[in-house]
Amino acid sequence: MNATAIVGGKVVKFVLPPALAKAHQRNAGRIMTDQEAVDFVETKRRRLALRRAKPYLESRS
Amino acid sequence: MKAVLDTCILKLASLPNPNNPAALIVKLCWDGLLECWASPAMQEEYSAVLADQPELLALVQDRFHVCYPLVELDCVKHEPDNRFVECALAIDADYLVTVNIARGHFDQPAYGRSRVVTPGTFVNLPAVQPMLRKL
Repeated sequence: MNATAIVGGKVVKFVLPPALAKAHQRNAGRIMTDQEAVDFVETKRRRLALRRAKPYLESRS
Repeated sequence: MKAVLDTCILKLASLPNPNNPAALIVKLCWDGLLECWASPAMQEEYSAVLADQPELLALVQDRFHVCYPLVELDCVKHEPDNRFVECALAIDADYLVTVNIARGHFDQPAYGRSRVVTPGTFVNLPAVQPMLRKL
């Protein structure tokens, strides 16, 4: 499976590593802007932080 | 060349965006042309954020070098971002690749010797062109 990137104003086509090829198949049709990716990561970070804090928060309630 | 990749880069690499410099960076790492590094704290975040992409996490485990920063920093206002700066400084990385250069995040042009660049900037660097020719 191939992907493309713009380098020096030209479209460069390259073969994806198997792991990325599988990910691209799974995510077919889904694209994200840079800002959407940042927001996605921040949401996951918040969930992770909440999960870590859960025992402490439960012990206080 | 040593690089530290923000989690957003791996997320973007996993998506079929028509212009995908993030995937090209992961490809360079997969082919052994670029040294990507991660600390255990970064790996934990990669695992949490990319839990639905097991193959990509396996690639990280397989191809990324592991470093163990000895200091905990708070030079970036957004606390989780400090884990990436700690790794970059510990290994004296050439580049910290991110799309999150907003105020309070990776808002400095460099941390120590490690330049902060976006994936689009990274793949256009003169030093990267010889690597791209080897693909």
